Amino acid sequence: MNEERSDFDENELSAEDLAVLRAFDAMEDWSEQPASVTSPLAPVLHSALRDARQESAEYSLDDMLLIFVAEVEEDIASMRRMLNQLEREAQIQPERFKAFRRLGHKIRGSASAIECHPIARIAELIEETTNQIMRGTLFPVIGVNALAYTLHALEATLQNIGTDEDVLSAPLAELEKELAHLLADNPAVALALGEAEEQLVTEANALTIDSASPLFARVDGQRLERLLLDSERLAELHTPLESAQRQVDAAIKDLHTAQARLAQLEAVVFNLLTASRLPPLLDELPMSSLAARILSNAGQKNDVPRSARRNRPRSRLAQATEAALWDELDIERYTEQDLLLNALREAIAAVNGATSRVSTAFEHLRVVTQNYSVQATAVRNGTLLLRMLPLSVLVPRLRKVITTPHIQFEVTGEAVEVDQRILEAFSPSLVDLLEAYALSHTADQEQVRVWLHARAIGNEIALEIGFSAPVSGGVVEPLQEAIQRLNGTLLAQRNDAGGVSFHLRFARSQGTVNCLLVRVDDQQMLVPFAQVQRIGDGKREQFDRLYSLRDLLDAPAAPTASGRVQPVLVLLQGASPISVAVAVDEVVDEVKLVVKPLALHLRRPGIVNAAVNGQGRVLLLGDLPALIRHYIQIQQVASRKRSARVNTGQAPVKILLADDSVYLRQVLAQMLKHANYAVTEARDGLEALEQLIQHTPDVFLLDVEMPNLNGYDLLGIMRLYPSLAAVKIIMLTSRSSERHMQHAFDLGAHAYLTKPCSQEMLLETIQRLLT
Amino acid sequence: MDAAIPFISLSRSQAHLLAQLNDEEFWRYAAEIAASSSTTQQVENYLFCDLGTRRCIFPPGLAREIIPPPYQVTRLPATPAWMPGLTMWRGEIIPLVDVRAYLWDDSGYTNGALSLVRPPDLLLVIQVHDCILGLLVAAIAPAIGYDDEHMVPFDLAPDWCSGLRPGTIKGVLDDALVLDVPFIFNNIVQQIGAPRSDRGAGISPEIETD
Repeated sequence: MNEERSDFDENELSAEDLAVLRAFDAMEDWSEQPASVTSPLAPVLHSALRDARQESAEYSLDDMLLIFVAEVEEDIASMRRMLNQLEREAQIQPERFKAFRRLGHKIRGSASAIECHPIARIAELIEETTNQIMRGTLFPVIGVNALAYTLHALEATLQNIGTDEDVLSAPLAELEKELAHLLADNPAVALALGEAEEQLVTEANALTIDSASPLFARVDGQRLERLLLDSERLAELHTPLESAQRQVDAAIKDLHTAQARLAQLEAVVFNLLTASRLPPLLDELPMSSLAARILSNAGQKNDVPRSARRNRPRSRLAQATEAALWDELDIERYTEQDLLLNALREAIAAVNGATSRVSTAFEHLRVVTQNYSVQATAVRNGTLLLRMLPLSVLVPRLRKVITTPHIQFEVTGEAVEVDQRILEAFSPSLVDLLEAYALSHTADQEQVRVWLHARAIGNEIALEIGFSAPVSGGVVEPLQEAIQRLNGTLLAQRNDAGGVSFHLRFARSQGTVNCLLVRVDDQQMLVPFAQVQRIGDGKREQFDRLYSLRDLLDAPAAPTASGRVQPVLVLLQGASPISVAVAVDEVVDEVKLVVKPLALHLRRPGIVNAAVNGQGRVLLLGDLPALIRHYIQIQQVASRKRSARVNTGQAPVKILLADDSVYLRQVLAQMLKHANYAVTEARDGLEALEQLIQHTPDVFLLDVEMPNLNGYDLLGIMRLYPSLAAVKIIMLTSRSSERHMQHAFDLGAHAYLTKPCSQEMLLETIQRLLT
Repeated sequence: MDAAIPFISLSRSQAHLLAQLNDEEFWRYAAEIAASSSTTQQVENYLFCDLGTRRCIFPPGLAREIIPPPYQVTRLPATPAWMPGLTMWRGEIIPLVDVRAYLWDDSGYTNGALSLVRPPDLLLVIQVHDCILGLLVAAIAPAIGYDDEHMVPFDLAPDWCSGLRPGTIKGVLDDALVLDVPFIFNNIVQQIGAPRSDRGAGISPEIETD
């Protein structure tokens, strides 16, 4: 059971939920102890329960029970809806059961907290069944039946709450019998037999892209052949490479030998020359027998073979002694110095020869290494190509989640290829988005449309996911996070159908990012292609906001560029009428480089990744919207330090108020207007985004729960608009948990107020942020 | 047999000395030489670095590579003055630290003037656990050994040590600073990760939160 529980992502739960679950875990351990013995965990359990209950201290136990029943009923209703949908599907994907596991876990936790063991056990059976389905040890179809029985038992037990223990446990006993019968008829091992093989083949053909490491993948045959050929060529280069390395090793060894010989000679020459200038002391001094023997041997070794005497130039020393000695045969005599000089020349020649051989061997190694590198690059590119899949492999899965007949799903550009891992990275959140949309419009009678338009732009893919009707809030955030991890962008825009379109842009192939290489002074930097709409001329064009990359990077001021053109990067701003551009000294090139994250202590706002080019130069990858946002905030802080802003005597401070509750908007608007603020309103997240872009306020007051982009979605999208960096954001929500608050701050909120919030506190917060 | 014996060159005085020894004295002397050479062998990984006006000692086992100039340097915004930028070493992006400027908390680097520089310094790549730093030093002397017993503790160090960044040295030995490398690494990483507050890009703006 512990193993099964480890699959669960606790991040999905609130702090309150977690407190309940901790109590539940403690109780589980406790229940394993003999009943008569007081468990040492009992205080832990009671403490945890107390903590959980303290959150709602004003509620009585009966109130809590009512809340529990209401929550479980709501969860049962959700599971019923999902089961009905699953029953209509021809082929059920195991991951569709994830929500059952989550709800089962939640019910188990709260049931344990109020010590309703039959319900906790039934909820546990939901989890177990779901885990089996997701692990592939239980057929989804059988799983659906099992879950149907389980829900029935859960409902029955819930109705019996308040009765005695036997009555309360009866549905559970019945359920266990039914499940035993159901699963005995359909043992999990059946899957491991012939059907398993069929299932795997089916999975391979369908390409289960959401699996972390799929067993099978469909690849292009021609590309595979080419990759194999390149791999073979690479393997063939091993032998020449090893041979070249051996040649280098041998040449270096020769060089070392020659150098050692030279060093020996150098020392001998030194000793000899030094000795010639000193009086002959050795013969006169007492010495050890060993030392005498060493010196004697050294003297003998210095005897020169006669063959070495031929064709040797005569040294000056030899010439000097010549006068004193008469040789009747006029045979040249060589002194010790002549011989040493000769040996030195030979040693030097040997070193030169060895050096030359090392150079040749190195040059050969360089050429072979270069060939090897080229071939390795070909293999790498081939491998990357092999991983490319057309978007069409995702389409069947998207169609499956849109089962409602009145939702029309259109796809264009499905032949655009994307790296398999990139597809895996964003497809689950895309599926969830469509699924949530389909669920929220299940009861609708009107025809609604969903479309996915894809097109390739170089190494990038541009996707438009459009909805003709409003989208539930909160569903965009996971997709946005996935796109952010891919160094891409996600912008929201109202479409012609009156709904919302999400425009995604990111690299198509893994590891490499298509970038513009720009220059400021002698500093080069990368900018993701996905962030740039076009390259403009800062001297001829006008922009609403023009920043200098030099300022954004805090580089020192330099003379104004003397060229006739001032290159500027015009940022992609979706529907925003405000044009934002960043001036650079030069746009050097368009490059495709492997980007990797910087170590944590090296990261800066807007600079978290870097690449290394072919010359070994580190190139920082600048996130322009983040750099601008940060720059504006810095300017603002500096400006605040210089002079505190006063509200009087200036244009009234503009406040945008976004809440789906008309009543709350009216109350707040009235109060803020009385306080001399200029207030505009938005009914949902998308309308708020439009207002933000068109009439950028000073303060943005928003709720979390809103249709068409909730508060968190909106904060995430706002980060892509540098022009909104100066807006002070206040969350005003009924969500009071630390987790929600922290999440809002992480997304850029400046203040977090919980409803009900006093007028004084709200006004004070606004004033504090403005001064 | 002769080939196996390493060649040793003797100075005249050494030869003179040897020649005067009797057998017993010769072997005793040989034993002393052998003992002293084995001590040198044990400590030869200590690095003796010249910082321009002063010297410092690095403990053994930390140096990964010594790279002569030129090397590529990329400036990172909002870094301390003693950090000229980043460079690439064996596929890793590592920060460069001017050791002299770090120890005395000053720098001759002009803010933002770097991209490709050819400083005269050697790049000494040092690794402590998973953290790798590129240290810029003027020169690196051959390995030496030192005896902790002869080290002057920091409290009693000469006056010229008073301007040093606190905690960075253990003491002074023969006018060379004995560095406290673990402290220095932690401190450098901390300083780089917490950018200067008087600079533009990279600082954490003072945004109030509840």
